[in-house]
Amino acid sequence: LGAVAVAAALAQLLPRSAARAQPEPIQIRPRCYDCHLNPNPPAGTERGPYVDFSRFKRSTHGGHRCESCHRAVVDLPHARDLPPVECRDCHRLDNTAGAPELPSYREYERSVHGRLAVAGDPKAPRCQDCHGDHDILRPTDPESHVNRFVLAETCGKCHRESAARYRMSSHAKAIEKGYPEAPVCSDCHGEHLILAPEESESSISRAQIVTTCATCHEDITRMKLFGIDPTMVEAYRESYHGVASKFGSAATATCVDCHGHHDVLGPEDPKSTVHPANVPATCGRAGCHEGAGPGFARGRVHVSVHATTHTTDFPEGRDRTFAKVIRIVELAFIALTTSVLFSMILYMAFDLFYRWVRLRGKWARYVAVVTVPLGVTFWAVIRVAQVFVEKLRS
Amino acid sequence: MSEAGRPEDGSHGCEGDAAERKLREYVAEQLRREIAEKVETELEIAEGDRHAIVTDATAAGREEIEYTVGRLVRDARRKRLRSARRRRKQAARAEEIIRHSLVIRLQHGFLASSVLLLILTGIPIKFHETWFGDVVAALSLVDAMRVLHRVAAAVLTAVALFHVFWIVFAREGWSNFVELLPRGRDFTDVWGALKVFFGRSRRMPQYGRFNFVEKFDYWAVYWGVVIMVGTGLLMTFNTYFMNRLGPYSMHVAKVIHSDEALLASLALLIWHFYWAHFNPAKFPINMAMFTGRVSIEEMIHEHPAELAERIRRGEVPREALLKHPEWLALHPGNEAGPEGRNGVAAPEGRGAAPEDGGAAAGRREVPS
Repeated sequence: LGAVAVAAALAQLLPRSAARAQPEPIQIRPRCYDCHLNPNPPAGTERGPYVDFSRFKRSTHGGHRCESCHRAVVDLPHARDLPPVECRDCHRLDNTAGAPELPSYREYERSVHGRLAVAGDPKAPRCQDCHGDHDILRPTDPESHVNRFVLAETCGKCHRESAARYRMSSHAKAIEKGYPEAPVCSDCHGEHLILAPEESESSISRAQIVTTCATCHEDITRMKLFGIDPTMVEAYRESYHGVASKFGSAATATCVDCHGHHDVLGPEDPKSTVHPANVPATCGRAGCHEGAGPGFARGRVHVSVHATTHTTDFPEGRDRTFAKVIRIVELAFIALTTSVLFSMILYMAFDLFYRWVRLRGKWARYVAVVTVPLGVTFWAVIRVAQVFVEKLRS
Repeated sequence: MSEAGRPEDGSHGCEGDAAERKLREYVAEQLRREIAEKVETELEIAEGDRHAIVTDATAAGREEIEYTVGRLVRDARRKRLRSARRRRKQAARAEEIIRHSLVIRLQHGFLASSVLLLILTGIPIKFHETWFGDVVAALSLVDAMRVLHRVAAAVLTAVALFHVFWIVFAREGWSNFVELLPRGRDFTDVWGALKVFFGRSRRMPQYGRFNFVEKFDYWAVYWGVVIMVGTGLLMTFNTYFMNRLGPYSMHVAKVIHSDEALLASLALLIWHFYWAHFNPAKFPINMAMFTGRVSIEEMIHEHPAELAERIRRGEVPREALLKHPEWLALHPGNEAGPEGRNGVAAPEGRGAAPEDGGAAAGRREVPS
């Protein structure tokens, strides 16, 4: 990849130096819009692709000249087939002058899109395919191609089926209602660093998807807007499914396995996979709980033990009562465990004290023989395990 | 002693007379046999004696003889040590009784190994946020752990079922179970032990077959197994139970299973291990549950009433009590005739028993 990048950079240096060699710029020659705007181009030339110059003037690059980007044009009229514009010429990390230094290019090169582009796939999207060409605007601008409220259309130019499914989801419905807090494509898939779900680094891989969904679904203020219980993610993480997925089990269910992904819907929608009527079919898929019946829908799946200790009003009604019951059960066990262990340790201490009185001189030996080696062993085991974990993490 | 050998040593290289060498070997062989005999008979050979023999020997055979003698002496010493150890062990054996029968030991073995495996494969799931969880995740052990946890759970369930049948149908099981039932005496025993710990009394309670610590351990395991197996079955056959009870049943089962697991693990690793192995009297390891044998000494200190009962029933051989005349008195043995072995203890035995153990034993053993 590096070699390819260096080769590309060298290739772009060449026309630039050629341009420098000719100090006379194209200003005095026929202007770009003679062909690209004017329906009747001057003699000796032909009509080029139409460029909306007024829109270009309003874009973020509106102050630039055509040849700033179209570097292959050194003379007019220019050749018919020009190489595509390379945004990286300006938007690179070590560019100290002018364009913002963005790491996005590097991220793009690692993404599925960028890898295909480097491999030479003509269908692979380049910067301008998503960001627009002459009408590049900041993503906050409502007219931008990468604005939250139109991003699904931009991605849907290629990913038609996924975009169509997304439009049916409750996420898309919230976007249509004008909530900028609702997620669009890039919130789950990433912006420039888009990876395939099979790659473990990907934000939508089995290893990462819970974290990805949790960025919004654990956010109390954001979830309040939509009336969704923010404690459900925690409940999932504590659950059997959650722990197994954290440990990397391939058999367990993550968020998307039950809720679907692009066409995700709330449980109140009859088309949702988690609507009570559809729960038996969803849970009873082959390899999961085969033979699941309507009993699976009798009560909520995501109930956190600590749900009632949070400052939210969730869960409500019967679920809240039930969460309280679970909490009471747990507190009862905590009380039982602590009181039993406290009495045990106290009684053991009395027994040790009694033996100390009788052992006298042997006591020091016992302390040395029991506590020191045991302590050292426990400490060593814990330390080794910690070092091991740190090594594995790094 | 080496003056005789040295000149011959020097000429050894250039000589090489076969007949002479043969003679020397013969002499050396004779000496070796003689010394071996001596070592065998007297087990030790005086240092001066040995040197005299060696000095007399021809130079060529000297080192060899020294080596042989040394080896023979070493072997004899080792043999003596070994036999002494064996004798000591036999003597100790004679002073032991079998407190846990093979059935009990096997039940305990299966129970202990399955529970340790369950703890090992279960605790990382409970503490999945800590580094335990990271180790499991990093080594991708979760699928192996799930299988092992179920296998161990099956073993535990089998042991529990066997135990119930054993209690109900086996005479030994029933009598042990009756001994394990909590009684009013256990509570007074706690009070009695505390009084001793705080110096208000000099006599420890005279425990019977099971003291309150052991009874507590047994009933903790009993309740623990019922709860753990119950909730575990609920979660193993989750589809069946969720169809009938709904998802709430799983939440409750999970909370109870995980909390009771922690309670049981801590009780096992702290409390049970302290009484079994880590207390000063038993450290570093107590083999009673592996061999079934407990010495009379330990029985006197820990289960005096059980010992008295066993003596009364004639289960304890006379030789085992020889070092404890006060207990021998409870057991008239041969002087009292054949009925003494399994008969009631003689009344003077009760009187001869000292305050330590004897009185309580007497209280229990004499039925009238």
